[in-house]
Amino acid sequence: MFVINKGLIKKIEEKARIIRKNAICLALKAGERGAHIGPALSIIDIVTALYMGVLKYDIRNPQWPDRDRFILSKGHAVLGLYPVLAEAGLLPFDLLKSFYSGETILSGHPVLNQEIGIEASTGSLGHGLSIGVGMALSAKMDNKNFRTFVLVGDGECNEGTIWEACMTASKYKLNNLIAIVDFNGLQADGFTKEVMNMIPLNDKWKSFGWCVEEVDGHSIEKLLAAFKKNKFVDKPSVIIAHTVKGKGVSFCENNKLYHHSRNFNLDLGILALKELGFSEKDIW
Amino acid sequence: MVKYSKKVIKELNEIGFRDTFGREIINIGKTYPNTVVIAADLSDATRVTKFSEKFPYNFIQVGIAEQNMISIASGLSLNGKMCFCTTFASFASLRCCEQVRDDICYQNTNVKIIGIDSGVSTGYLGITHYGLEDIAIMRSFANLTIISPCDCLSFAKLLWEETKHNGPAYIRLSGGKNIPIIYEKDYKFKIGKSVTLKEGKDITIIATGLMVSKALDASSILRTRGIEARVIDMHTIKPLDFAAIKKAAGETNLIVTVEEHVLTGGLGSAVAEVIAELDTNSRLIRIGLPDKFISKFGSHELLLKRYGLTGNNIADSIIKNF
Repeated sequence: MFVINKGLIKKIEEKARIIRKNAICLALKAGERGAHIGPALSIIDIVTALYMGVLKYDIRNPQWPDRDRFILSKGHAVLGLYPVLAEAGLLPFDLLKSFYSGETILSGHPVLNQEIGIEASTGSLGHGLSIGVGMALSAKMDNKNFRTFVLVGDGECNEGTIWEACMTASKYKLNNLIAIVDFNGLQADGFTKEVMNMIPLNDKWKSFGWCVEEVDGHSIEKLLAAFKKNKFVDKPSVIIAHTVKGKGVSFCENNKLYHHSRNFNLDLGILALKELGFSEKDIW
Repeated sequence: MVKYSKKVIKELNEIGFRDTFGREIINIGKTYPNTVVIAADLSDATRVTKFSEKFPYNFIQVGIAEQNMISIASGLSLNGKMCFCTTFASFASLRCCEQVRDDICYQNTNVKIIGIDSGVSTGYLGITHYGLEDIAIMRSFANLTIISPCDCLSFAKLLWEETKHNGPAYIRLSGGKNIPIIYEKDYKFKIGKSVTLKEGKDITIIATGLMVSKALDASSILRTRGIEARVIDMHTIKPLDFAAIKKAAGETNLIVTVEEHVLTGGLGSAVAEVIAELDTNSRLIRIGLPDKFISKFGSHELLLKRYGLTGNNIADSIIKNF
């Protein structure tokens, strides 16, 4: 068992709380134009744990060739990425405020921009893991020891290309590639068990030659431990992170209406912020 | 800078586009250590087996997974590699269309897609293996350069030109050996700049790929009928050589496009788009493959004949409309 510094865990948990608040603020900016708030709340603990406790990067040199790469393959959850990048110091806070306001470079899905920490353009599902395979292969070719992390959705695992990427990563023993499945059990049309049951997901990845770890995707401690552990394997790793879609805001939790919500108004926003320990005055 | 003697030019055209690629890619690998070739179970067909033996660490075999191939290439390229993805033109444009658009073109990555056996060159293999719509599809993507060489020298030279371009490209090749030689001597090709192979004051034939040779045949036939045809090798479909089309529209009364591709969205459409916005009286005839799935198959030559893509057929169509 890897022992993780309790202070670090507390610090990341507090960051995740702030980031959830900022994601709510972004959803309010989108308003009735709609925002994928549920998927964002689902991944925030994972992405925060990565940026605050795992990834190597240099905010003064965002294109540092040896930095770890992170790809948000489920690009629609971008509200769970922009505020993390802002908190990490990669994305200027003023830029964050431009989301859905006039002309902005921040779209509803990530757009490749290494200067602000976005490593790939995603949005159409099932591309990110293959892009990550390419990045991990390049690291092997160049004898570099950075790692590539790709966050995919459980619904996204319906896409055949996820499994094409799995095969390639396994063939080339890409132990520098880590996939994280945001296993929240919900996709746009409903519960994944009903739309397209992927269970046993664990065995599927295992049978494709991956090292599989299942963790509570909202436990910073367990996530950090899992990311440390998979540094010592000789094959690609997947962390199946058990999450709750909409985590942290009771009325969003496990509610498919908040996969892409067009009714996230100020009243709901205030309610959400209160649950997260903030108030109306914290809205920006 | 690679030089090509007359002897080499002859050899390349004898071995055809596929083997020319197999030969050149090894030299590209030697010149640029960041070269990576990716195959999707067609390494023999695309002649990259030798490359894989010579540069095993710069070769990736993904199996029958073209979409994966393209996305992997984009990831490699984002980390500084120059990638060559090799497959049939049909699969390159249809199977992994979205990966080409999102991962290669949108991210503007340094990935060159080599599409072998475009048009109907696979003959008896049938529709699934024909690259009929690739120009139409690829032409709609921003950032993408599209090269469609007429012979093996122009292919080799444009391939090398493309290595200087840090961005995505689709290179449309055809099958077979003994490619008709269009360029007998080394020539300095420039991407986006067409080549006027023959001057003529009456009409202009703009052709691409193997149809350039047919256009030259047609122009010889037309000459015997007193029609002076200008022949243009439009080796780059995108960026298109607007200036050459504009000049042709200003100087000749009839423009004829010839392509081994469906008429919807191909070279003819691209030229039509330019002409439609010009103040010109010059008319346009587009010659290409029909808007239907053929049901009778045959050899490449037989199919070209059946669909009017021979020097004689092209000359006849022009005479009818002159």
